[in-house]
Amino acid sequence: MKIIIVDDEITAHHTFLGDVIGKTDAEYRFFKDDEQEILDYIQKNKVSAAFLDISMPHISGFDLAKKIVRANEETRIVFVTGQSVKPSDLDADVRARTVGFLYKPYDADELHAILSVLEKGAPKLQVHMFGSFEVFMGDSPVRFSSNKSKELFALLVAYNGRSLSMTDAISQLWPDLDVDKSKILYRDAVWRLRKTLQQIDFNCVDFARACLFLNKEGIQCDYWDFLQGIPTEHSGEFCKSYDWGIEYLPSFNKE
Amino acid sequence: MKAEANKKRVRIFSAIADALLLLTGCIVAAAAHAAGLDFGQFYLQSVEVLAIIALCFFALFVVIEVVSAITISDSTWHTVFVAVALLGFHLTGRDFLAVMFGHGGGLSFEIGDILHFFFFEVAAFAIFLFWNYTFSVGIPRRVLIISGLWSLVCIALYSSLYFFGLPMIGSALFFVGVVAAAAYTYRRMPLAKQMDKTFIATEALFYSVVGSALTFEVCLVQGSSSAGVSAFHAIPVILVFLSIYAAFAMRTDRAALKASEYKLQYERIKARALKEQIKPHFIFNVLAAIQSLYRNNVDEGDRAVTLLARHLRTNIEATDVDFIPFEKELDNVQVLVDLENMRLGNAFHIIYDIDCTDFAVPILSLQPYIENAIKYSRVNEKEDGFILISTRREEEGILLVVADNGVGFDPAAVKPASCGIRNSSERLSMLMGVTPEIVSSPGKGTTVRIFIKNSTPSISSQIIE
Repeated sequence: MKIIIVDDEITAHHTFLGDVIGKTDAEYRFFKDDEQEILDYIQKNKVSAAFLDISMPHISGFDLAKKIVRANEETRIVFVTGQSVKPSDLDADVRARTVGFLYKPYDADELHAILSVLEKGAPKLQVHMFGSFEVFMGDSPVRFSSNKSKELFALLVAYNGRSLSMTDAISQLWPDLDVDKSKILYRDAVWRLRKTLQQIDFNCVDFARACLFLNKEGIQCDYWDFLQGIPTEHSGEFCKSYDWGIEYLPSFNKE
Repeated sequence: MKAEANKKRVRIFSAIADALLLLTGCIVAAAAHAAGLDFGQFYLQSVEVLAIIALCFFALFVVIEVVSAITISDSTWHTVFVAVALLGFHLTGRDFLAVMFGHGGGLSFEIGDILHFFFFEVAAFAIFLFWNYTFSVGIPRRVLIISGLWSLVCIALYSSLYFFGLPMIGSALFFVGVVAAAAYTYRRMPLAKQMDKTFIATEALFYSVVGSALTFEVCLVQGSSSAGVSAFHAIPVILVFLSIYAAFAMRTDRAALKASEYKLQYERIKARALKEQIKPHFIFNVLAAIQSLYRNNVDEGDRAVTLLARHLRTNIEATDVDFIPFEKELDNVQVLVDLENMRLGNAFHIIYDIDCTDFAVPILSLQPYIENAIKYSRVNEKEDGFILISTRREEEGILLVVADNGVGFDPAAVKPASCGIRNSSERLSMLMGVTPEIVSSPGKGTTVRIFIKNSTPSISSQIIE
């Protein structure tokens, strides 16, 4: 995979970008904002993606993107910028080929995510239910902002596509708390789960009022595989740190 | 209370003036009749001159109205309509017809009378609509349709009965309608609106037009000559129309001045908010924390840099934006909390009890309350300490609450709210007409309640992206 990076202040970011991209299989090359040189290179090489700074003295990233998209339909665009950009600021051709926006200074996680999208296409969410509950996006673990929001997601996965009502969730997650308090904590967990999924850009949960529903598409889960009869290794432990996990144990220890 | 009494007094005076305008024509005609005078014979020359001068005035009104409607705003088309109706009303009056066709009477007078009544109806109806529109009286469509139909019936009766000598049945019915329309309007308008200069002026116009028509009808019934009456009556109509201009001009001037002052004041407040938001000591402390983080763990350092960048980006963006979707403001708050937690030993625990996010708030208006809680509540030192952010949809609007179960304070003993909070509440009240309510007592924590009514622009219109 070939990547080009266009920025008028190249030296400034060399190390960081090089360091991160260097860890992948991608080949990368830096360019200053010299339009002709870039377009020549794009026509002669199969470039998968162009990382473009937006404000550059000789040509703006938006204009350059238009020309790159015209020169090579295969090339994806990633905008690198200091200020906020909305997708609606882009023209339609460019928008269709834009994979993402990176803000300076770079967020290493976001950069990884974009590189992995470029390399492998849309990533799958990997969910491990056996042993302790863990979620991975591509290769990197998903960081939940609270333990309870993580547990709520685990419960949703355990529900295996069935809708999870607020009362069910509360009785499993906060069995000992009084109703008002647990409702508040439930809504907090829901909010945080929503934010976490938003951050990894994988909105697989339908957040209806007092009811959650998991869209299974694009999720790979060992427990689901097991239910479908696909041989799956398990240690006999299910979501080990969660109390309700025990209820699921008999169902697969029968064999 | 005194101002209220004064208002009532002014209102009574204007009502008396309206009654006089309504009756001038009748009084003059009746007095003349009683004294055996005939206007037509007495003032023939001067009445003709007067009628032509009035015509020029009315034509001028129409031109001015049209020009101002085109150049200023479409709302003025209402007054164009009124002016055209008045012009027609004057042109079909017997005085003017006498100027045009001599004093012989005949068919031109009869058709003129019917048209006169028609234009009178149109003028009265147009003023009624003008009130509804300009002062947002909110007359239901049903009532407008009924009153329109009523007018049509009156015209039909008037013109069909005219040649049988009974047109007054149509005009009497219309006067009843006019009285009902005026009464209906008063009932629906609060006194403050009725005190508006433009309203009082148009009201006077309404009554002088009605008065003119009334006089004409009285003369018709009496069989006496109405010559001179409508030309004389043109004078109060013209005066009133001029006063409407004066009132309008004053009102728009004042509104423009107020709007520009308001904008200036708002910009000042916002500029101050931004300046206060970028707190040098906070940024340098965060930078120092980042420095240490990098010594321990490069990934942690990277994450902290990203957070700081996000925080700064929000603050810089705030220069271009007034409103921000509530969810984004919450994201900004989370960044701030993450930065604080990174810097401090004990983490602050935020609970999000979010019922709805489909509204917008002034940018950086929520942050100061969280900052205050972080600074003073000491909830991070408590085992079960928290800062709660909640939104709840209620029947009349959205209730936004920021609460903590920290140490609280005695509102009476503490210096006035921090700059950030004062600034935020100033902007909340300027942009949304909302006043935050802060309740606190020592040992019981602090609660800030912000109630956003459904009618607030940030809820009802789509500022939300």
